[in-house]
Amino acid sequence: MRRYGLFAWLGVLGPPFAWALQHVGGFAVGLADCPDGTRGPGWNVPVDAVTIALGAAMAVFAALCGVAAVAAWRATREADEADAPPAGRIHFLAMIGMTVTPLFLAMIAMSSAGALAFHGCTQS
Amino acid sequence: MSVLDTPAGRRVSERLEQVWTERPGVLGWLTTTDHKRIGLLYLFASLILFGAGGVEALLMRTQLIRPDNGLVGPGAYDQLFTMHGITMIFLFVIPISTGAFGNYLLPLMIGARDMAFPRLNALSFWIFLSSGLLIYTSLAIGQAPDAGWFNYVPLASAQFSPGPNIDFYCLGLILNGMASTATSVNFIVTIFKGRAPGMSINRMPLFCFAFLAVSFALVFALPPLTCALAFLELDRQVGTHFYDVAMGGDPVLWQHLFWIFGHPEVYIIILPAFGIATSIIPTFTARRMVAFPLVAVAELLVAFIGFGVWAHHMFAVGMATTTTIYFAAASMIIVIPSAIQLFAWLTTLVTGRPHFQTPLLWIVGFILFFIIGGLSGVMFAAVPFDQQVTDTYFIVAHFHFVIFGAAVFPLLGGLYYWFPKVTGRMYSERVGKLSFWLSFVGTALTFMPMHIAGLEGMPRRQWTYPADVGWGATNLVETLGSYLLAAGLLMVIANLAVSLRRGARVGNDPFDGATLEWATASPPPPYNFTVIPAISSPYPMWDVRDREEDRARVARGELVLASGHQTPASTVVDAELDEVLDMPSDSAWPIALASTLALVFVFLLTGHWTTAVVFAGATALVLAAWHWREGGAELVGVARRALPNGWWGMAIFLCSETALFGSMIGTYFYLRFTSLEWPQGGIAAPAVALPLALTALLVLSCAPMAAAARAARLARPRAAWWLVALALALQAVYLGLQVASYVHDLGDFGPSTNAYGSIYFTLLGAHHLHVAVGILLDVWLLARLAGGLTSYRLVGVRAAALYWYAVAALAVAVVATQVSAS
Repeated sequence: MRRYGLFAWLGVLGPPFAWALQHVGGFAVGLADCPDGTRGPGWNVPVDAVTIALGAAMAVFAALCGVAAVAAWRATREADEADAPPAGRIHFLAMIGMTVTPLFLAMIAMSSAGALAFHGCTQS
Repeated sequence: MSVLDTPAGRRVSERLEQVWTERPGVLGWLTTTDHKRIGLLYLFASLILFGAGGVEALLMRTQLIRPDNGLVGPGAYDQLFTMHGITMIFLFVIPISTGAFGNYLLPLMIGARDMAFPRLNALSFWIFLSSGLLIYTSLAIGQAPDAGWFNYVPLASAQFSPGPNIDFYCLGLILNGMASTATSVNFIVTIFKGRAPGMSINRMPLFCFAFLAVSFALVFALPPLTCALAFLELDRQVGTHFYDVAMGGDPVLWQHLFWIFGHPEVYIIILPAFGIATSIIPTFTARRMVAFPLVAVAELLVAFIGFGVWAHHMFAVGMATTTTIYFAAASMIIVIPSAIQLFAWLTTLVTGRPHFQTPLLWIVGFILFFIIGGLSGVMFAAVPFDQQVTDTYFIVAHFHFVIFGAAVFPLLGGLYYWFPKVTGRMYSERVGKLSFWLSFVGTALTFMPMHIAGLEGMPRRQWTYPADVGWGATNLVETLGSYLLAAGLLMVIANLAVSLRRGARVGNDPFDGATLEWATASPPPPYNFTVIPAISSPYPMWDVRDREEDRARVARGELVLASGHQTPASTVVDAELDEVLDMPSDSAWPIALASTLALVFVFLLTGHWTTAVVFAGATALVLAAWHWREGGAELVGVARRALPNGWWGMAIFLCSETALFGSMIGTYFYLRFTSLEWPQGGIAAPAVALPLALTALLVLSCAPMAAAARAARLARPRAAWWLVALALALQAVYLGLQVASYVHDLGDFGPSTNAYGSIYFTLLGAHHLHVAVGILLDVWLLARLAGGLTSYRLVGVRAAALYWYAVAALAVAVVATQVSAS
């Protein structure tokens, strides 16, 4: 049961962590190489490649965390979400993990899609 | 039958009444640490400020009732809309939602007898009140902030705003932020540790999930704002160049820092409303919330994703498209958790048996306005549309539907809902419904036409408009609507004020509510609960067997905790009983500390810096005196299974400090990315050998601190004393050499040389200040440990050790900026 408790927390916290890392990293990469599109020497970072690579890595990590949440949910499927811990708590957290995973996966994919449609430092 | 109806219950209650009752009269209110009285203080203060903000709004609407009106001039209009924004956001919605509703209800809902840190709670209120008085002093002397609530530079710089107006804004909001941070730390620790045994995380009421989300959002959102405000004040008073483009700074930096705070702020404002809605809907539909876990996570998700959407306020700035897409994606996805909640509310309403009494009517109004505001909000995620309507009245319409319609309507519904609990009397249902309909129609009439005015091109913040542009009709309707809305709101106040004296008396639970606040008397006694309640679901009042168990517990004398000022502390996740805490009672220290702190800010504002430093010293002395006298002298901590409240308080506070340094380090790299050379202006790259060696020394000093914490837990006070002394010696060497190096660098260049100098000295100075504060903490610990070990001192050692781990980690991050420039 302890293992599934960890799986449930992984499902809850992993996908948000992956998205946060991609979001901050992607923003920093864009800023480093496209300083307002006007000033600065640029750091010669391949913005599009890094954006896609970062997105792909984080998507895989988030998906794995989602799988962990599903495993925890299956292990406690007999429990109700308001049952006493640990079963009730694990079931509750696993449901949360299964909910957040597709959301963060979608956000990671949508954020990375910018690099496919636009190039480098084009201004909006 | 309630617990109080049993003979045993009455006996215990009498004993608890003696222990928990505070001083009577005005002195009692000034020194109170009772969360309910502090909640009421917040309520009255924020309602008065709401009145002020409302008058400002009505003055603006009256000015705009017809073209070329001359009721107020452009300068006064600038002050009016700025003060209206500041008041409604910082001085009304946040304090009434977290300060009043959160304070009053949260401990009651989790079955606690008070907040985790009752005196910190009082301190938060007095600091908040000081910030409100400071900000409103500016209006009284005709020097109110006038650059809009988001105060963009360069308009807000000393060059274009030379008066004290912006200084009031900066210093007032820094003070306000301190109050909100303290409140948030208190809420988080209270929710983590104060839940009644049995209320595991999956059985926590949704109201508490909402306030947990709000509190974490505040802890991480306020530091970037504090950072932005401090930079601006330094630019204005000291001559630094953070936002001065001619000297290597960047005005867009303000926008980033402000909106990293500003967008989460929207969710900070609206999440308490979600919490209130999830309390009212089950009660008036006699049905548990549909999709409980999904609603719980949706509340947390909204707060979390809210940190990733800030740049959608800056789509017109000219960022790279690849960058804007990150924010457009997050702005679209954040709709989903909001929609989860929306559909859960609607499904609960449809599948339950709704009774449309006044509180539920306000919630229905909230849902409608939230849909309107939410739909116009998601339109801004589309970059081209956003760029078209930026700074028009369309934006004003959108955020008023969100911030007023969606955030304030549930607050008003909540006022009605919990009025019988707080006063023991019922409001007038007929007048309540009338006040709702007046406010509902008034809100729609005021804000709906603003969409049209905005799409027709009317810019926001314009003090008047010519007759030939065709905006007259919409503005006339908006102004009439605003008066109708004001009438509705006055009717709410009048209804509650009259009912306070003439309302019918009610029992503990007039609405058959689901959560624990309805288990106790109306109004609740100072100790909240005669017995710590039994919990087996998120709707404990509907669990009849648990309430029977309460009566059995009283009869057995179990968990009545009547031998002192006591409350239980539980484990964080599963809420197992961990220890019984002796709580502090009423105290004059919080108001004393808030007063000296407020004077520091007053003298900073007036430029009397030496006097400000004197009062900062006085503040430190008051703090030391406050903590000198301890309750609960015996050592009980060794038996603890979980980390104590004080440790958690320090941990959450350090999250806030880490966010502050994150903002400064982010600023360092932001300025660096946008500079042609680094360090700027031919300044030599910093020497890194000494900083690296000193940082290693500071990291090393964590070892004796960790050993001291361990020795204290093993009840070895002498060993702990010597280990803290050893750490102190290492830290003092670090600080001495760092300060010498700092002074040496000042001989070569200064904070006002250019933006590099500004961030270099500010970042290092901030860290040195943290080390100095830590050293003072060590000195205090040594003085206390010399007298032996108590439970209180044990927590002090563990919290101090945690502080030093964080300061050492931050030193590594700070020295990394120096290494990166070398």
